[in-house]
Amino acid sequence: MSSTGPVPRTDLPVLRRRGERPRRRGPDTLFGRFAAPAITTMTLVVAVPSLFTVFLSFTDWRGLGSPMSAAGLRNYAALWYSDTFRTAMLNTFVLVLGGGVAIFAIVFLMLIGLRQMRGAAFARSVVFVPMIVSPIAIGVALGFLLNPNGAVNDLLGSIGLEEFQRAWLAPDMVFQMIVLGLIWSMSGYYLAIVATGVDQIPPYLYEEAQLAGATRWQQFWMITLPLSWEAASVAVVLWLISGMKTFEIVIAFVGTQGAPPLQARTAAVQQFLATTGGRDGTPQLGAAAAIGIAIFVFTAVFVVLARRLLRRDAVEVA
Amino acid sequence: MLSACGTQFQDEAEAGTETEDVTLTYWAAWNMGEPQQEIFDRIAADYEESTGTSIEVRYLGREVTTNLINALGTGSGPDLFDAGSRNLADFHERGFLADMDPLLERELPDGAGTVADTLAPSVVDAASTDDGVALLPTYVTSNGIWFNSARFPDIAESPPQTWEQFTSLLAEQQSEGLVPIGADGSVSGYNVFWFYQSMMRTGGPGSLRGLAEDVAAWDAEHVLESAQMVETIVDAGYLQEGYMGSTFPAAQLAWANDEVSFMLNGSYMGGEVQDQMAEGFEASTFLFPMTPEGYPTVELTVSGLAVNADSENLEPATDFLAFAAQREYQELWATEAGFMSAHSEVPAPEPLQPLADAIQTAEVTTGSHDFAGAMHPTWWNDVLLPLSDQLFSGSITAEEFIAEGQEQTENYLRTQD
Repeated sequence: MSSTGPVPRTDLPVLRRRGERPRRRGPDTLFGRFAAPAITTMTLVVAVPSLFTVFLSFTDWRGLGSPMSAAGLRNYAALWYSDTFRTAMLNTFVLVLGGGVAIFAIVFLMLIGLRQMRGAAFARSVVFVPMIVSPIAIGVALGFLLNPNGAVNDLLGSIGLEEFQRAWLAPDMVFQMIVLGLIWSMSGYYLAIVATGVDQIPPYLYEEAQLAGATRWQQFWMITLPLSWEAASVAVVLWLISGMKTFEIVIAFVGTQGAPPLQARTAAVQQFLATTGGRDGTPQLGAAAAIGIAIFVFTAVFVVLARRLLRRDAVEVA
Repeated sequence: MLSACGTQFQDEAEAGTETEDVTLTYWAAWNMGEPQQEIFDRIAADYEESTGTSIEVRYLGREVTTNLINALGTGSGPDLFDAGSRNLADFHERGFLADMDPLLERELPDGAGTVADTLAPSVVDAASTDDGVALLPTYVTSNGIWFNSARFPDIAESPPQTWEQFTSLLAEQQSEGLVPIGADGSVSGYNVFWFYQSMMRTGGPGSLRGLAEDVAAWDAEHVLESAQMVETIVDAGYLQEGYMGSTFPAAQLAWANDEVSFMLNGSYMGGEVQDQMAEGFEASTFLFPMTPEGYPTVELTVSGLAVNADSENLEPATDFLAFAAQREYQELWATEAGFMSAHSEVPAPEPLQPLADAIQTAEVTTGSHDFAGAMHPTWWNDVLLPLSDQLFSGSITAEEFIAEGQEQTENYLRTQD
């Protein structure tokens, strides 16, 4: 083939046998080629284990080496009848909803406060630090701070506030402490996510709003929130997913010496106890799988609801 | 970690005909730096020097169990692993444990008789399944009431024998302005010691796990009596202030500094706080007091070394266990790790002598938590521990404890096969 000058690539003749249908090079073919490795990998590492978990939830099994027997719906019925699982699930809901409201209130308050503040980036980093602290270190620190003879009660005593001294980690207080701990450790993470949306907002919008005499709250309500809505929506969904799996912070508060007290149990803690069987026990993998499925179903419902509630048309800056 | 070089082992069955390279493998539930690791390394090094057989050790810490179960279940497990009363029945049911009955008949290399000669019958029993001995017991744990014998020499001389004497002693201490009992109330597994031990006195072995098996078992008089024993010490205010908010090991440290007088805990507690004890502190123990017409139940939990039933090195592994059973090595568990050695002639660490004496002569024994946690883990974690916490915190009465226990056990049993 010869050519006398540059020819647009799309005009190149294609050699084709008689009767042969033109080969498609459209997006569908490319999609298949590019997606195949990802689909295969996801099937192997996500779909197959997930289906196995569903299967497991209908069995009695203590793990390799032990017989597996059909359990029907018994593992789910056990969850239904269990006061402890009900309490753990309720604790999880309170933690996700109550903790979530507090976390995002803090995030938005900080967004209002940090705008135009000198050293805002540093302040953001400081708030993020608890997220990267090891739960083991948090546990040790909490033991030092919150024990009846710990630093918090000592401090209260030294400034004459004996009436506020408490057994902070006693059953009647431990859940509130866990919620507070979770808020403390997670707020920086969600602030970082929402702030990435806020950073994209052109500064002149705020300048014009200031010239128009808008207060900080009005600026937040009319500029920051609408223009960072997508980032905030993503953060809310991420919170719902991670909040429903709350585990590490509970262990940081109650330690690893055995089963956490009822008041401190979350659904994920229940799943852990079933998976390990506790200090003396053997794994109850069927029950653990059923708890996992229950957590997944509730999480999925929350995420779908949240996506519907948070759906908005994207606001574009002219 | 010991070296994994191949060495010569002369198989007994083929002695005199040929030799083969053997390296035994061991997955340990200990961490590097723990006394138990140092003990094992010493035994393994001496064994290699004596026989030429080396042992490749992986110190995996307490999380070894999950890996171990998966490995043993798929036939890729080590030759040797840690096991004990807690998981013996489960491991046996899964077919993981080699029969160690022949081990008992083995002559010890030091000429001090057979392995069986070194173990008390109660210890052998605790190391056995329905089909026979399943491991070499190395050390024994139990539980008792800890106190400072230097501070309370009268108690060391004459410990309270009955529940009545014990509660009188608590009242006397309280009247003197002392804090009689310490507890890390955030550890439900420790809180339940009080109800568990009361049940072992009033109802005997099997009575605690029996509560998970039959709702009617809760109606027995001794169950209410045991719950009332717990209620007594709670209502009388014998425990330190804010005990339910105390996180491990705060109360143990308070005890080691004479801030509280007694702690009901495992025989391992003294070793855990040894470095924090006040000057002149002399840790000691006495047995949980008897109740009228009660049972002299002694908790006896053995730990030791088991051999993989699928091991290709069954013979050399058994030979190693006979070597490790010699007094020279069994006493290290007492002198270096602070445990009660399983060897009957090895003196127990001084604080544990009363418990060791009781174990040697025990006729009524049970395992950790009466095996309730091992046999009925869901009931244990989801029914008894939360209720025991409530009873121990004083938020429910003994009668409410029974009523709740019955209701929740009925719900639990409704979904059991």
